Amino acid sequence: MEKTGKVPSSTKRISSIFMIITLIMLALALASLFQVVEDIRGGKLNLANIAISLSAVAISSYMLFQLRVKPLKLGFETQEVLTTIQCQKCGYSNTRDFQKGDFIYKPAETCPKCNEATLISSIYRKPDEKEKKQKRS
Amino acid sequence: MPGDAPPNLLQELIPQDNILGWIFQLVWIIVFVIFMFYGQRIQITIMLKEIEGSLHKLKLMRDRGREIAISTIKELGKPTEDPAARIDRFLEHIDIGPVSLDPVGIIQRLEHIIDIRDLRFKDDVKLMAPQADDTQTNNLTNVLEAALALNQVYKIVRHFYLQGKKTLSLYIVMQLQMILPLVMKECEAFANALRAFTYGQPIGDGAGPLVAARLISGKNTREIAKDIVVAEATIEGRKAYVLKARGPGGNVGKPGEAIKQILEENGGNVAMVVLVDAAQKLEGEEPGDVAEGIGVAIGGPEVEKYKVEEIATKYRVPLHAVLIKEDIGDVVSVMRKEIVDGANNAIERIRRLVQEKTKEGDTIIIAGIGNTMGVGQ
Repeated sequence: MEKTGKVPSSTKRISSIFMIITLIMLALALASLFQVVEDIRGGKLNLANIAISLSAVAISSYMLFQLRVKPLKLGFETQEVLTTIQCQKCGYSNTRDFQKGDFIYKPAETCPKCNEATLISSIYRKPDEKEKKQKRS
Repeated sequence: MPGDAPPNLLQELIPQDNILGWIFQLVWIIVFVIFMFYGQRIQITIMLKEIEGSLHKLKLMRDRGREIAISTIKELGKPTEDPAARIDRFLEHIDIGPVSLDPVGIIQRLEHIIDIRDLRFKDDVKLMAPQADDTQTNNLTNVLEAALALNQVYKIVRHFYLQGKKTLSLYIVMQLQMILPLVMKECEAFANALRAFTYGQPIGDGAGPLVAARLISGKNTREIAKDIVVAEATIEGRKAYVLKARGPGGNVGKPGEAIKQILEENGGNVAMVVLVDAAQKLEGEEPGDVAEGIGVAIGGPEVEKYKVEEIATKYRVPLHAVLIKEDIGDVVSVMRKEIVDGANNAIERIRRLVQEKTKEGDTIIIAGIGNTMGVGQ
């Protein structure tokens, strides 16, 4: 495996050229808006110029907003995993957080109802927000 | 009067009677010419930028995967020396497939190579993690395989990216850009898998072994083939041989070999073989849905599938498949609730299939296919 050298940051990379272009666009849009305001003060109402300069400000602000630094989701995020314990005799079941060493059909703690041995009947992860949204749609 | 007519909108937007209008027109012409001659180059540059973003993400995934592999081996294996160098060597592992120019005996040769690979991986893990028990060794092998997959995908994508950049070939870059969303999805699944493998949690691929475990829970098992256990159960008055990979460590075993052994033991006197496996769902289908079919539901390099087809054909035994649908990303991620429910539905389907297709007193084989990580018996 080749040397990884400098460890890359786990954030979204932003092109500096793109950032400069966006800032120039925002500056030009603001200058044009200022010009429109000056025209209005001088009694000259040009609707096309107002619409264009406002749109330019909105678009460049939106682009700048989209460029904000967000952490990258790599898929290594810890998921909430649940373990269900079931009593083979009385059917009592309980769901708790997954603990290291749990596996399906591993004998678990004794049943609080009938004092019999219980087994882990299932282990599953809780659906995340993205999955819940997909399910709803 | 003509002089009082309002100026038209085009004249307002692009005035042609002043210097600004001429500048705008000139800019339009320049842009047109640039796009005419350099359009493809601009398109390639934009696509390369997109690929670069994904490549950066793949690199982060690869490095994080390596870190997780090292820390897990240190935690479970308690090695006396730093395992990083050995892990780095492992992550560069290459498999060379058998010759296919002469296909005679290719399955046996492929099986031999797979066996060597399996043995080599487990030996390497034992050297890296001397204190790990059998279950942990199996789980660590899976951790390293996921880290290896991330490293290989990163290197392949980087290769085509650099090749596209060097040659500026639209076709190389375009092909890479088109498959990249699917590649990223698979890599995210491997990243998820690494977490699951580290803790030994059941994964989506374990749906088949979960069904088998539900059918043989509490019964005595014996090892019938490499890493495969079998137990005898009575299902709807039929004698059932239920088999699965030996859990709870991450294992798939040799189910084909096991089915062959059972059929040979019974002289082919088996009314039906049912294979239960996880199957990739199509977009729009629900995870955990159960489907039935015929044939050998065993994925992977097809060695085990071949063995079952061969022996079932020899004894004319019907082959049925019960499939639990799931997304490609779910196969190696921690098992979803829908798949656990799907396993319960699959048992109902098996019971119905057994009632409809066989008679009381018949012998049947039920095989739970897949990685049994986190599923005991």
